[in-house]
Amino acid sequence: MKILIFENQKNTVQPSFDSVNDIFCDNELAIEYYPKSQDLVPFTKISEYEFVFIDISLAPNSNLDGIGILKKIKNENLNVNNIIVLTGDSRIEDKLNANGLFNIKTLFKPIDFTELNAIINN
Amino acid sequence: MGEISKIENFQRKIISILFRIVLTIYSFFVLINNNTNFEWYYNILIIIVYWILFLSLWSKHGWKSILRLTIDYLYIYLILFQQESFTFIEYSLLFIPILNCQNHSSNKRTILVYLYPLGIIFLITQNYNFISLLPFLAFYIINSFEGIRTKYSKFIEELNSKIDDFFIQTDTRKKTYTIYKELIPIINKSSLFKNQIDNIICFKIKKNRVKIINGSYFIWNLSLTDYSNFLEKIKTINYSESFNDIEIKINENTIKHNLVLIYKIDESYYCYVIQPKKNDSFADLRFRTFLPTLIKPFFIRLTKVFEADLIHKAHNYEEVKKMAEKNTYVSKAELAMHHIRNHLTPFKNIAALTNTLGTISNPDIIEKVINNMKKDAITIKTSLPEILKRVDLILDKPQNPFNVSELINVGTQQLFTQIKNIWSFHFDEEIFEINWNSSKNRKKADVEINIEGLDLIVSNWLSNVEKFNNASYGVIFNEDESYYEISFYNTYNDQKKVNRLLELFNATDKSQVFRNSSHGIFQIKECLSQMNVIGEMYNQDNLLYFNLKFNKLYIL
Repeated sequence: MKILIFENQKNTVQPSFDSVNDIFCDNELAIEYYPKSQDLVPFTKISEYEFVFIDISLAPNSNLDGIGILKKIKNENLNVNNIIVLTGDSRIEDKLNANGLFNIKTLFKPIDFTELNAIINN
Repeated sequence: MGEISKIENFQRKIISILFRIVLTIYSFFVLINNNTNFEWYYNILIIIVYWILFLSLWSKHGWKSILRLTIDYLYIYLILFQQESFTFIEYSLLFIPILNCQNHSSNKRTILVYLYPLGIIFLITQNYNFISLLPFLAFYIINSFEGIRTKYSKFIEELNSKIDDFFIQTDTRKKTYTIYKELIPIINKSSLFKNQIDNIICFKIKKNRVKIINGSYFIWNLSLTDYSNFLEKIKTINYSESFNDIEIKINENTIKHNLVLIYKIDESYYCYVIQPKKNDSFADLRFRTFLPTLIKPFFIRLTKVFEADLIHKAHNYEEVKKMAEKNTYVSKAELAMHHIRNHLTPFKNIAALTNTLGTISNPDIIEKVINNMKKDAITIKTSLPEILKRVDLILDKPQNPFNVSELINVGTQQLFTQIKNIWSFHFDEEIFEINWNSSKNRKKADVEINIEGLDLIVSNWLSNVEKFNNASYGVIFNEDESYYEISFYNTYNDQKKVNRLLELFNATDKSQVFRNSSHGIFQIKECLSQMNVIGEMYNQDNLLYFNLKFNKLYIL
């Protein structure tokens, strides 16, 4: 199973993803971390992943922030299986709604492997 | 029209009537004093017609005021024409309009006031006695000078009215430079000066640095050709001075002909560059001599307004700077909290792994869980110093612009004023009992306060008193050997609330106060602690007391 994570502070989420992969998935998860939006080339490749985790505040030199990535997916009508927003902002839903982004699953940092597992292995 | 002008106009109208009454009474006296061949009703008719004509032209300006003067002399002529003799008594009647000419409502005084009586003398006596003309000439000369003096006064008054009216308008306070658009037409329309002013520019010199203040047009660049010489000149000024033709480059244009008025205020020199139209020289002697003197009071007031405006802007800037510091601090604190939150993942994960460990029995999975716990422990070890660094940033009080630990020494008068000002914001009536020793031979002592901190404490508390008192409240100012004490007291309704308040205020556990009280009590306790002021709260005789005790710092 391929998982894509847009996150500029990899070490803030990696322990939980590693734990899920190791304990529940026999290391069969192929997890890719990208700190910047432009690191995914071509961007349309995003449809190939089973799960896409997007941190809202990416690296300052990222062309798009998390909201920008979500808008791009929406505007280009890309078929992405599961999108989950990673954030520490409790008012994220308002922010997403204000940008015309509705019904997007959110995972609040800090996250532990049980929360992640509940999403990935449902 | 300014208020003074309104009063003056009213006075003119009254004097105008009084003058005609005097003229009528005096003419009546002249008629009685001499034999006249005319019937009495003829004179009554003259007087009635004269008054009707006068009242129809009363307080009119321009050519109507000239007509009014003509009617005055026509009336005098008709009275004098009847006289058989032309003695000093009759002759004096001709001077009454001259005595009144200072009150003449026409802006330009007419020479007719002196020519008409000469004409009457000629018509009545059929010849001229030149000696009898001398008083008229003398009056003409004296009144001409008086006229110039009045013009100067009116000019100054108009300028002052303009500056008063200008700064009363709220929208102009932000655009002080628009005052020149009001000032220039007044000078230009004045008949006192030959030259016409084109523009006025103001710059300030402080500590040898030139700062553009404003101008009647936009100035982005200003320099003086011989700056060092100009500096030498202005250093000798005590209060005000004027110079001619100082070469100045304004917006890349060199201005050679000008009048520069300089006013010293504290350590600053405000320089007003007055530019003539078409870059003419201010060759007119009247302009050079009188203009600086006449407009001096106006520019002194304007200078004070500009200086006050700059001080106000500097204060605003300081406030903005303080606000920016606070904003930066809050942003930094937010970022730090964000960072801490993000880095808590391994902590949360290790806790979840620990929980899982207790629920599984498969040895392979147990090993995997333990391995993950070990990995998380390594991550925690590396991220912990970073987390602590961010925590320190938030807890570091000297960096916190909201803290009130920076103290200043103030006397009891200032402390009292401070409390009084905050009190008056909350209550209309001052219920103060002052037991502070105010005798001249008292041992004087200061206290240390942070003004913002004191405001926060007292405002917070008085808001509560305002909300919860049910009958009486007030402040008692006491002192003992060591402290100045300020006691706020109030009655209350809700005993439970007061008990809770007392419990929270007197609690020693900071976190308990923070968790359980409204923000007010926490803030009061924090400020008291930072300002080293002793705060006491207690309940006595159904009154809630909040005491502030300030350490006395005796002045040696």
